[in-house]
Amino acid sequence: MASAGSGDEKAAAAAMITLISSDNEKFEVTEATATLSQTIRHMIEDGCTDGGVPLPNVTSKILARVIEYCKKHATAAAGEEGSSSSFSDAAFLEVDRAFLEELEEFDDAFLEVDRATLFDLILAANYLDIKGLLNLTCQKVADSVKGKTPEQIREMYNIVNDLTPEEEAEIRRETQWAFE
Amino acid sequence: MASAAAAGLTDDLIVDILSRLPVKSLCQCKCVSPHWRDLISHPDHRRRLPQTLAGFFGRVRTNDGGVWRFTSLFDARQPPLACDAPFSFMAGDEDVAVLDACNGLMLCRTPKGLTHHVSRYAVCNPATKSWVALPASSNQGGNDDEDEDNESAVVRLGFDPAVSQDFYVFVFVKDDAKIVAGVEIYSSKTEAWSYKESRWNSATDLFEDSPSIFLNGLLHFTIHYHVVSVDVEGESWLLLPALEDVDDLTVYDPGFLGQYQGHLCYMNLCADETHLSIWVLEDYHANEWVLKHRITIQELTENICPPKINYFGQVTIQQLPEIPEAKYFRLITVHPDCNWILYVCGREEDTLMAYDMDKNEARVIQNLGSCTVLLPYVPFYAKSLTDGHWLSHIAL
Repeated sequence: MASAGSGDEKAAAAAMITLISSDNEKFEVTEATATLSQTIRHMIEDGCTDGGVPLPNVTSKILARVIEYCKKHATAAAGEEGSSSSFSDAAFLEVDRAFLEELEEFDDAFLEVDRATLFDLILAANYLDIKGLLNLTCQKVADSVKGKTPEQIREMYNIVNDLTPEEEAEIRRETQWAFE
Repeated sequence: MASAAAAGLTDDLIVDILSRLPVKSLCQCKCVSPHWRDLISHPDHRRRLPQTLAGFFGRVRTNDGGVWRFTSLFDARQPPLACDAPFSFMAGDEDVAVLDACNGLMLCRTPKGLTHHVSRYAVCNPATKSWVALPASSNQGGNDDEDEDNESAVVRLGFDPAVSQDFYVFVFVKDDAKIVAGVEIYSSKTEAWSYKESRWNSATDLFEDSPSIFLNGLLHFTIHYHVVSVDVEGESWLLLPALEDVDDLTVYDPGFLGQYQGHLCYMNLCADETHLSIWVLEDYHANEWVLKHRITIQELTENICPPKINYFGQVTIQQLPEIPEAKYFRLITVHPDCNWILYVCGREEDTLMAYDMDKNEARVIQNLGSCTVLLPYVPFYAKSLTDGHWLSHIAL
């Protein structure tokens, strides 16, 4: 069963999908990479990917980054499937561990972007329905917000404070302990 | 153009980000903008966001007995529950009796007038306005059986959404010598009661108001000088290590159980009632309670004598009585998200106070009037008890 499965995967991996960014740039990716996006997976299932998949919400700059993420994680997913059907001896576990570490390093490096790009990645991950990428990017923003004062958060994300002083005082009073 | 990008995130995405924050950060985020504030308190989002101590259920004395009220901490503008009728969603709510509260769920006596195949216990979630009457067990009398003995039964609720969506109700059974013989445990998972014999020390006795806490999947009680626990299966009955300086413990005060930064904590008055000690059990196997704080009772109570207006309209300071202050203070809870001990003190009226263990200072939170019982309440929006199959147990 394992060998039959990997044969199918090879066939699937060979199929190429063309993604078209909002600024009309074309990206050729394997189906395995593209289907990390649930949105594209559904389009493939519905057979509407001939002639390319237009992604009017994603710029070429962001799409290139998203594809970079998907390529890496599609390889990881294939690797995991491969190892789970193999012997689970120490050597394989060691390989798995090294691979996971490498993936973590990739993710960390991937997140080294400015805030505007990070927000664009979140929007793209949401639109394309890529769970792992959405998780990663939202967590990155959450980590940057954690422990910050409201003033710092507003400054970081250019949010205008239109709370009246009374409203702000009220919120602070209701959860005094959180502001100390 | 960071602002354009920030503005571009949908509400759902902002809530996704906020849901990853610890509750303290989330509270601070309410002050970022009205939009964030409204997102955080919106009913559609609350179930995804961590919640914190919102207030207390208190039984307020009235001419014809008492009624259960909800009091929000810090007089919130929009309290999570209706203060006067927090149980209006339940049939016969006017005579609802709350027995225990645990992480957002409340254990109540089943309202009168239900058919007799339900037990005398019901569990409700005031935040989702849902409730379920538990089925009767073969050993317990039905709801219509007004057995005096059972009125003072030791009954507790166990629920920890961080571990499981299931809740457990513990009804302790005593033998003729009033010693705990075993426990009947209702599991919402199996929807059935099961009886397990006690494996505690043969002398273990519990009372209706024995201090207890459900933590780490274990229901803990304190009885003089030591703490016992039982798990939700009724399989593991532990006698936790005793406190070291037993000589310093008072005879009549059973102490108080709470959680301190996720650990089990025990608080007690020392023998001469001048100090309150806070002990923490960091490791069940380490056999050691660690003394975290020792606070003088004077520190806890010195702010409580409220100024009184005398007949001449002058403010006078009420003299502290000769009776020890310790008699007028009652521990309520340790705040789940900060190092505050919440307690009430006062003689005629109860004043809710907080003692900040980091800053070593006491402060007045608000006057509560007169309450006989106060149960801390953290709303839990993610669970409706009438979802799915539990509905079948509601016999209206």
